[in-house]
Amino acid sequence: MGHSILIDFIYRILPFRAWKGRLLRNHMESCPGCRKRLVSREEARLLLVQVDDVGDLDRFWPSIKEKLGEKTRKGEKSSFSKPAMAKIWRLAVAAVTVLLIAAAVNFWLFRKPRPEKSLQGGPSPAETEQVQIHYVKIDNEPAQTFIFQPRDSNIIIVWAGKNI
Amino acid sequence: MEDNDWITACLRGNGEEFKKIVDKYKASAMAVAMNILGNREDAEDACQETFIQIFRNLEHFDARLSFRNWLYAILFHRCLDVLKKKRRFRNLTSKVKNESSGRFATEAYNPEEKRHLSQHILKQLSPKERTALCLWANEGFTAVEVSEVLRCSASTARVYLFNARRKIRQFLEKSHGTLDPH
Repeated sequence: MGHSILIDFIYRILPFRAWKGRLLRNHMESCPGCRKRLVSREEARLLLVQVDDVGDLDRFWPSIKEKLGEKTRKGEKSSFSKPAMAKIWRLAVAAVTVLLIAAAVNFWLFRKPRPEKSLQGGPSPAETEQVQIHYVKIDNEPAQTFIFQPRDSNIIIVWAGKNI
Repeated sequence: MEDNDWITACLRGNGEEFKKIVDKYKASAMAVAMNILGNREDAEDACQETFIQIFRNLEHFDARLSFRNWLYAILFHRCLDVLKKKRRFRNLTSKVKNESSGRFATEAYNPEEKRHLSQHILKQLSPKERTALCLWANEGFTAVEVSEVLRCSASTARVYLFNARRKIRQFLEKSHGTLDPH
């Protein structure tokens, strides 16, 4: 009796429910004296509502049947219950969102850089016919060479100058 | 095994087979709900909603598990929902304090008084403790089975049970009362 008062006191002062539970469980499982002080099954039954006390349940099934509705009564229950449909919708929305995010990331990260335009603003070399000059000589001496194409024009001007 | 047969029949589209399940469990489910909720009207609503939820989710039932435990787990959560709604409503209106009647089996009392007294004692317990106690005492559940219904560990279920049994004993000792069927 004395130690059960001590246990009660410790139980009250313990701050966390988990600790209280642990104390109670460990003590009750190892102390026959305290277990005897617990309410027995038979005593507990006296407090509880029993199956016999429930009384008349004649309207129970008709009410359920009514609530389930005409469809379920005829066995035409939808193959997807409401919670299942909600789950499918959630999954579909999540999948669409993931796809949209993936498409956006793909667009911004992996798009090809636009070809730079020439300094003069004309079409880039890739867009025009390539002009290549391998070698220019003036008076049997290598010469400086400049290639120039005016904006919006197909004319290409090659200017060679003698190295001084 | 017969539960699973009825479930299979229901899943095949034979909705009337569900009546057999309802008939088998309605009384015990009502008793559990009445013990948790404390009144018949709420208990009946919670039970009906439970059976409707079960019917709509039969395809999710794992036949390897106990149908009875599954049913009580759903019922327990339905009852918790009802209690939450009632608590919210009560907070909006006013707080009702129950005062101890102080009368126990040492005095003669009629069944109505006994019911009132039982409800008063049971109100000292949390819903989880009430459920654990009810399943253990009325249905003969073990702590492991109680844990399946409450969806907690077996040791936690054991704590709920110990607490419930201990609280009742302490309450009775404090009030110098005993539990007597007569």
